[in-house]
Amino acid sequence: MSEKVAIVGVAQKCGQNIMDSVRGLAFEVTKTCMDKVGITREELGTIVASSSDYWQGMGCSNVFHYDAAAGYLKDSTKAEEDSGLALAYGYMRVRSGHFDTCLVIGVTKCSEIPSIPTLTSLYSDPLYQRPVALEELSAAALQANEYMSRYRVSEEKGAQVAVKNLRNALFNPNAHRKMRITVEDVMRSPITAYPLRELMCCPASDGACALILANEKKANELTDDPIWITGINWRVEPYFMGDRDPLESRALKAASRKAYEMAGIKAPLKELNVAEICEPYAFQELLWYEGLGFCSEGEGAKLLDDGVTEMDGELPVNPSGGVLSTNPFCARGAVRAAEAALQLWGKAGERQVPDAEKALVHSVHGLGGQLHVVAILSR
Amino acid sequence: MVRKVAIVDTGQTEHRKRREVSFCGPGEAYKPVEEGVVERGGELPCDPSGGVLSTNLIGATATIRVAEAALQVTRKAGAHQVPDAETAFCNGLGGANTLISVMILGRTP
Repeated sequence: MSEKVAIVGVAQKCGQNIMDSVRGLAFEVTKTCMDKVGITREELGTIVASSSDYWQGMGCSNVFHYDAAAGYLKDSTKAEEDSGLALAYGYMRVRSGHFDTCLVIGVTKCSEIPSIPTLTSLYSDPLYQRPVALEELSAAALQANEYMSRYRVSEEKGAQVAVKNLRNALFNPNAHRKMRITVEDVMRSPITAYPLRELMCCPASDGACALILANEKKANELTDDPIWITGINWRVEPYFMGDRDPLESRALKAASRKAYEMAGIKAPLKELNVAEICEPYAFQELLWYEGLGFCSEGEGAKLLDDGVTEMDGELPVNPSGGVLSTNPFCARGAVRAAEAALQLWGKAGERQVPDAEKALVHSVHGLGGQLHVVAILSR
Repeated sequence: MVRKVAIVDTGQTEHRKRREVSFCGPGEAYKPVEEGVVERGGELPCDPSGGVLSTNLIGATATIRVAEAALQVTRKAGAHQVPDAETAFCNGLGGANTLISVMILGRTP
């Protein structure tokens, strides 16, 4: 059994309406990542792919791109929908000792499929939640309303998150939506589901992301600069929205506390240098600050107001622009990990956070944040 | 030849799989059926549970194969027990036979 698992290589290609197939995208990031690391297909231990039948418009989505992702006749498997889960699955496969390396890949082309509300309405059961039009957007809007009302937070706080993340995205060559805008600009964008407005909601992007994981021995053979996964966990909340308090973020709290425990982190805000979190809807970034223990409940907006999570703050959150900027649905968790690894390598270009040693990676799935994955990366 | 194996297999493509895991030569999968090899009481009883031709829960089908194999090697398969089963083969498949998983269960570690 291997105690330590590292990320030794990353590759991503994201944007709007990329003129390449799902297979083409999967192949490109896989090949780029393997070439960067200098590993052959034969050497590669196992492959964990993350895609989705819904988000690819066909059953058994993974069979369509396995071979493009180095999987032909190799041990390979799938983590449905969330590549944050694929990272956790890949981590476990290496930790098990069965494989010394694992390629994790996530891919989605939102430009080829119906809208996010249409597809996520299929997450809702046909009898209770779907007839009341509960999908990802409307669930996030209900959650945002509750957030504003319980903590007396204005709509503008959500707009501020969008301003920060879309500005950060200006410096990310893989960003889909990048803008230098004001809170007023966001407030003028059309309402999608009150209080959410167009610029407070994630776009529908195309993209793929590959990560290569390795155990300690192999990582040291492949690179002088492995990024260690020192903590990782995931948790799931009850399915029915009515069965949970949308602001409690129980799954996020449990997952992050376990990941912190594994990584020996006691004061996340102080000990982490950068965080890449999954915030498909603006108010969720504030809520996740609280769930991740960066601040106490209801204080997320204060953290933002104080500039703590800005690029020059104590803990920059989403230097990449996050999911509000770029949302290649199933790939977005892996993209968070790739971005965090680039930060720790000092290879994040114009969006680099200086001297980053420890990073947090977060991925979310399901209505109102039903499932959360949290990982801690360290130099 | 592996002795005392209970194949706990998916039904739809039984012939094909018997060939591909090399229990017999290419194109000869019909022979173990004709000769009774894969019958209960044969050398290699296949799908004593009734297999997928009998019960098909799609997503749970492969897990049921593992459960049935475990019941066989722990001698808890009741009326469909293969006597003295020591080692069992089970598999699942996905796509158009694109993804195959295979598991061997045994009484000894």
